[in-house]
Amino acid sequence: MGRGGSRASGCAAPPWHSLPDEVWEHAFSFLPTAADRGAAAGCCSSWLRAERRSRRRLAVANCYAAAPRDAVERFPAVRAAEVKGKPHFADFGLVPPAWGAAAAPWVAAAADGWPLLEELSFKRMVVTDECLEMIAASFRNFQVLRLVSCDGFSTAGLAAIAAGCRHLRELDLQENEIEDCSIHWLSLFPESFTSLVTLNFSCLEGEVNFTVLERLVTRCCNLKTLKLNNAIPLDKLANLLRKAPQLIELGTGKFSADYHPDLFAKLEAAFGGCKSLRRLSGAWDAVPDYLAAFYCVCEGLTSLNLSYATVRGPELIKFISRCKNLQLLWVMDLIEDHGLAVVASSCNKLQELRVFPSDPFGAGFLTERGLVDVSASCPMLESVLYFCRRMTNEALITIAKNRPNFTCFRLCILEPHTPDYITRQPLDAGFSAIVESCRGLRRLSISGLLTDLVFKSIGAHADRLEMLSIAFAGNSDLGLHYILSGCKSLKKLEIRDCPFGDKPLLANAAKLETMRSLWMSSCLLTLGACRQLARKMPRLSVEIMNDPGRSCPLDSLPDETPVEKLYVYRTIAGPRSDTPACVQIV
Amino acid sequence: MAECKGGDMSPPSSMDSSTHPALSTTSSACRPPARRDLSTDLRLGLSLSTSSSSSLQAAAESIPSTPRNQVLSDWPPIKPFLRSALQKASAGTARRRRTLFVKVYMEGVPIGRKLDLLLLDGYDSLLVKLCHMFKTPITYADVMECHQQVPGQKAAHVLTYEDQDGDWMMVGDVPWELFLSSVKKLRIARMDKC
Repeated sequence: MGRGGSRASGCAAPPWHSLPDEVWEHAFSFLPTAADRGAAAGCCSSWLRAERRSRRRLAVANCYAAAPRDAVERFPAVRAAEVKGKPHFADFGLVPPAWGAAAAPWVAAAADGWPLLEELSFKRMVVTDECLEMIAASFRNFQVLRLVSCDGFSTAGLAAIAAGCRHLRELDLQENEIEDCSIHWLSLFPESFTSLVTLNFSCLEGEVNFTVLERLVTRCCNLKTLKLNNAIPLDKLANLLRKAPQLIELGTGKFSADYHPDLFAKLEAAFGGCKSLRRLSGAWDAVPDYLAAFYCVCEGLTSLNLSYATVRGPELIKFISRCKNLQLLWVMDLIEDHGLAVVASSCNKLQELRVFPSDPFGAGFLTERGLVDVSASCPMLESVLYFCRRMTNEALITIAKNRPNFTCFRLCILEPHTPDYITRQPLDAGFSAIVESCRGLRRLSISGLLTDLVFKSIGAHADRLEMLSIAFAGNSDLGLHYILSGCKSLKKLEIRDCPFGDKPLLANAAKLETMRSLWMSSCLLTLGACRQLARKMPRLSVEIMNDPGRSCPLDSLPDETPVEKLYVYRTIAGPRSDTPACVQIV
Repeated sequence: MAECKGGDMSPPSSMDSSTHPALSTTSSACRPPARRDLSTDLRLGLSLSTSSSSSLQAAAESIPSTPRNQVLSDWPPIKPFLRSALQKASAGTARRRRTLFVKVYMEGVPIGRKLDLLLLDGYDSLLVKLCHMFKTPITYADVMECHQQVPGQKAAHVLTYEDQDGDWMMVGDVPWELFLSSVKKLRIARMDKC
């Protein structure tokens, strides 16, 4: 494409049009976000060209929204790419395991068109060992590999990365299913290799060779993040910390052992040397006896993730109460209401709180009181994920009043259809208060007993909401209609087990094209409506998933056939060709 | 790129519910349900007063309900890593386990699957389940001899498991209950490699 190519188009060109592309490419490098770059690219053809040729970072939120080859061709100068695959509900087991989202086509296209690629992130995708081998062999200056909630690979693939990526800075493995094929993959990092800044293998099941790990940690003197898996015993931790006192982020391994004063003293001394430690996680199976070894780093901590630490009691609360500068806290509900009251009085800088259920089917320890206390005392709190057994409208209204600055509010009441436990009313009023008060809310998950009224409120007030998760809620089509006809900024909508049918979906079909995706499972949809939707909106891909036993050629099924799972997303690549038997594109 | 353009959104549809024939009949649905004994009503939130339209009641009756005693494998929404961490933690206590998920790998298939062994009552049902899951005939140690007598029906895959010591054993070498207490993961291996 010649620089003067579009000048010949005849219509009045803007005055800046004659500037060379290089000037614009440089100017665009100062735009802070991808959205700004996208907006600039839409301005005129020369900006579009300059932007596309100079883009260094590319994020593809749905791997089927564009073809990998087209993406690589359109943005030839990309150095860092992030691709996401399966729908979010895959995290909770609602998406068939063989649904798709193979990373292989993206890796192959990148290997062909982006030889200078430095960073690659995949989320919820199937990454095979062959993919990892290709990554290791294709990019000569490869530096960052981040895999989140992926599966399909083994330690053999990690061995290829360790052996082949000579300039690797980050190997970040978060919540992946990795098969352990008994390869000492860590030992394949060459002895001359020292560039590692981040090493996270916390999700790996199975042992790693500790001597090899210790040598690696010792020679990588820029290591800032180290997250171990729970196969690393507590008595080894002190050795590692002494070798890497510069760590900013640590994920410990197993944090339990019989109490030995010597081991405790060793740990305490090792933590005492870690003056830069800001983020702490891991602490698998933590026992109260050893929590006090953390005390000397508490002051400095801004982030504490204890979501795998099944520890409870006064030692836990005492530990957290010393972390006065926490901005992020993830814990299990074993902290109980009185523990959260202590968090409220001690951690005034808290911005994000997540509380997970320790026994999803048991009695539970937590009520609405813990969240009310934290919301009252932590003025910077803006993001919450909270699992509990009971809630009231009054509590939600108080929380909404306390914290109008919420951007993310996810409340999961464990038993579906649970009403306000005092008034026995639906929780409509409480969640309505949240969306009415928190005008900057971008993410919302609702639960408990809810009628269509709550959707009326969400549709009308949640103008900046981008992602909404709904389960076991509503009582008619009207609920879905309120959402789709309101919620101006909605990008992702996921719904399960709600009595929503065809009519609101078809009536708001155009809205779906402005959104990234819609998931609906166990609702009241029919195949006929999905067919109509696909006809009406050719740029949408309409996928349906039924029980494996019922998958038969779509054409032979009548319009009234119920649809168990629907996934709709916009795409410029047309229907995908890799659907398994359980997925059919309408 | 579909995801690179944020600016070209068309405005959301502006349908008025009062002009929509299907929706205008349902306005009574917004009434909160009457007070009732919630522990027995499985259609909470869908319970409407008798004055509501019959079409709505019909809709409400066809809604998939969630019986209280039925444990949903996909609810509450917890990521698998936390789920299995909790499982391990509760296995250490004296409480009775409700699930025993193990990973199943098959040679040549990149994705491992998860299976709850406590839903099965023995080796035979395990085999039926896996044959269905992976769509291939599989055999295990106990029945292998019979298969070898009928060469024509020999399965191409055999089931093995990793025990707590990390050793790979043939499934069927110990009684089912003992197997449940020692199995870590399952692997469907090619017969010719055993």
